[in-house]
Amino acid sequence: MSARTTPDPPTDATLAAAYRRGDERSATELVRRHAAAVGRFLYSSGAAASDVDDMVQETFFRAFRGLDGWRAEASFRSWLFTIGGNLLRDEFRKRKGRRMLSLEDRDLPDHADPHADLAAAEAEQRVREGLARLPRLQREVFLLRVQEGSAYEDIAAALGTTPGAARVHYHHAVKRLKELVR
Amino acid sequence: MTDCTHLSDRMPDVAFGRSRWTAAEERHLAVCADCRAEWTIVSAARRLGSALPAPGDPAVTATRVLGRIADERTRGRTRARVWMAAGLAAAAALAVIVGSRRTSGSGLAAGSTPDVPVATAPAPSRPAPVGAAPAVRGPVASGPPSAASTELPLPELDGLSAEALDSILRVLDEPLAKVDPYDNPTDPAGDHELERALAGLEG
Repeated sequence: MSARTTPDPPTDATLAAAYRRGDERSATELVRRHAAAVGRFLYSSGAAASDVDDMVQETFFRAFRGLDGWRAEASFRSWLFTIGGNLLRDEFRKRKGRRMLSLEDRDLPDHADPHADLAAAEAEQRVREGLARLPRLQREVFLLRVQEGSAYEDIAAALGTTPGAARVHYHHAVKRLKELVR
Repeated sequence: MTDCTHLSDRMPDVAFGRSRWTAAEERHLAVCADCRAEWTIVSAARRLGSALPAPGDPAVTATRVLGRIADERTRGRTRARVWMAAGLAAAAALAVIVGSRRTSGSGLAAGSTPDVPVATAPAPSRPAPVGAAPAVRGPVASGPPSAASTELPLPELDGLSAEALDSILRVLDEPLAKVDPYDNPTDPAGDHELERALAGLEG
């Protein structure tokens, strides 16, 4: 009896190539895979919660329009994050430097241990405020490393730097966050 | 590598769930306030945004995004068509100007009419304005242009006969150096023509 094997899911590169050939379902699959992570990245980088959906859509719009710019040296998700980072920078300039972060965006606790949850929510809010004050490269390296678990090689390819420099940016970010969050 | 540096490098993997603290690492965390502070930051950053509402239906998002891209492409094609039409009109106008310059090159004075009709490019079917030579001419460029002849009015394309329009198209199809030697800086014959033309303009 021969064992049936489930075919491996298509890679992001395969889906991107299929979309280039006109297969719109591949675009939908790429959105399904990455939309939530892009949203979290944008929110963590300072986007207001109410803006996240629109910004996710704009990120994918820019990505699909400029898909030839993705060389697959970096992961598709890391590349989306850099597009999201550019979008945030544009929005920041449009608002003439005013931060998008707002207090009502605080993650409210909703669990069994209200004290622990409140402490965790406050820590998250302080980290988020600290992240918004970091230089862009430090923030993006930090979030790619912590939220995506990306290796320095992948981060370097996505952000156009070297793995060694990415590691230094990460540790600078941590040091600065310690000062800001204290 | 110190314990602190080692732990710092391991934190993202542990926060991401790809690895777990070893007993030795847990002992270090218990006594090192600096590492605990960093762990608080890294684990808080890992959780950030987890309370965001789940993203909408990806099919809806993809449809909107792809719809925008399709709209943009349609607008781009329309713009390209407008520019192409404008380019063709400009090319036709250029051909008319070239024809006018050749007219002046035949040595005709302003206000005169040619003695012999130019076979390759008949004059417009509607009468030319008084005082103007026909604007579209065949490839005749022997004499220097007169200053007055550069002010010839341009005929409207829809006033030209089919033969005249064909003549313009033939001129457009010719290589530029053959169309007008003045525009070819590498052609010594063109230089000579240009010298003569300048001498004619300066009297």
